[in-house]
Amino acid sequence: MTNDLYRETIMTEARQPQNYGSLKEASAIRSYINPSCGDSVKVYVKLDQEKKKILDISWEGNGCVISMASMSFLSAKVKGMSLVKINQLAVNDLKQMLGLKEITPSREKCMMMGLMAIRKAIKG
Amino acid sequence: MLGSKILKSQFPILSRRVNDRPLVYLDNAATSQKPLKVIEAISNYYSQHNANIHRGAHRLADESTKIFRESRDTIASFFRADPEELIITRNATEAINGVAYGWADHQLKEGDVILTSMMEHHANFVVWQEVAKRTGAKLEIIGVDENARLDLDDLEQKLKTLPVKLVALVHVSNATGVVNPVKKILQLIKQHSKDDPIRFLLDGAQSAPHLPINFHQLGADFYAFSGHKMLAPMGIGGLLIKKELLESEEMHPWLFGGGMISSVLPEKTRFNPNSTERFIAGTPDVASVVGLAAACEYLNELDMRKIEQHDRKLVLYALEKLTQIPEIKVIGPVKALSNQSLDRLGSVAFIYQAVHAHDVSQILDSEGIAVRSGHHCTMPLHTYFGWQATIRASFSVYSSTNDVDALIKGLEKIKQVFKL
Repeated sequence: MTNDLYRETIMTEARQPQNYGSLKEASAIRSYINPSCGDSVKVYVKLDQEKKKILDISWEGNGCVISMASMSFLSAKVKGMSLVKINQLAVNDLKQMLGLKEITPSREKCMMMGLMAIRKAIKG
Repeated sequence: MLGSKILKSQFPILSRRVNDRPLVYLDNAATSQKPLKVIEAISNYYSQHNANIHRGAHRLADESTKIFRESRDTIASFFRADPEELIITRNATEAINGVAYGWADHQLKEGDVILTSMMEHHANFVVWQEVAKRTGAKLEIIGVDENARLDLDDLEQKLKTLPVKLVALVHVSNATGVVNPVKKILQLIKQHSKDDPIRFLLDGAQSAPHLPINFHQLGADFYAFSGHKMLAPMGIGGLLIKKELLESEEMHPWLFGGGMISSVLPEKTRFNPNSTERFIAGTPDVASVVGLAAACEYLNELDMRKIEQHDRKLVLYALEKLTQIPEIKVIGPVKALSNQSLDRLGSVAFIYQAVHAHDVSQILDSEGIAVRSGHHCTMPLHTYFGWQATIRASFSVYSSTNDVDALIKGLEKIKQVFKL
């Protein structure tokens, strides 16, 4: 599994993340802490007027390769996505997004940290 | 011999392979592995003697009751405590909660001070935050120095100036391996006790597996431990309480129900005067008590003094190797205080520059090496030092310098994967 996790695409994504930084026009800013390790991520989201989809998103945080790569890919994926669809995203969608066949329960928490933060932010 | 192949062979799980490599188990501070002697003791109890204890006038109930009592005696004697000073709990966390509910809730009032420290495991921290909320007592936190040792000046200052009623400290830190100077702490507590005695609780979760414990000489009023960190099954542990606190009923039972009573009337219940029964409400986990007793016997056979020496040797060896790796920053003390042996036991913890602790442990896992990464339930300490997450390798009786060598070799793979 380790070779799968530390593939070039994941390593590069974690090192050169997309949408990193703050967002001036954010309508919500929320942080999420992974309780098993204390890593955290802060997301800035800008919703449309009807509050039905994400128009823009950025994030800041520190964590392992998996949490950072997952957050980065996810930030690109959810731009323009409806809140309904975001709330339907599950473990398997994120695994697929990262190209992982399997993930252990502990690393699943790393992978899901970004999604948890986004869900918190769109809840208001 | 400790760390030998023969000793390792007594722990079935250690012959397992992980990722097609021999398992190198260095996560003993989280939980230790179990020798065949313990596994068989539990299995034998269930195959031959299982029945509920007490009040059964049949053969199996008598056997079970006898085994339960003898096991309790073995466990108490392992800690050089009297059998009535031992309360069986699920683990150290439950033991500390027991002190909170059975002692602190009715002994503390608004304005009283509970002293704990920055290096505590959450088990000896969150509990006191909650007690403070319930009783109105104030929680004060003793700081640590730059090597994560307890700041004794801060402790003395707080004892001198505050109305302290309880000092609750870890004996051996699970995050850094720091061994707190219990004698010195006790001396300070005695020196600054005013009219009421200041009670002293030691969280022994990480000292029980590595140090010979003589509860009477130790001088603490409460000592909490977890069986699963000392070769026994999960879900069993204990709280040692000084006899005088039980006799004076300063310590109350905190769980109520069957087994702990002497008589129950519609209007009033009398509790069992015998503390070995007063603190057991409901059916206890007899098989795990049997397993814990078997673990105590096994540790006695190996000799806790030798275990301590073995552990010290491994810690020094690991520190020597780790400090030679430029990318690694060891956390906690590396050098002994003058005229003393290094006050660090059980584990070594470190940070790998520019690589997250999770990634380090994941890569080590691919080499069959089990270590732990994260905040190790010591978030206050990690936050204080700004450590996001640390990597911890921890030892037990079967650990050897070969295991440390495997760890050091495994760490070389980090550079390869991260192209450093």
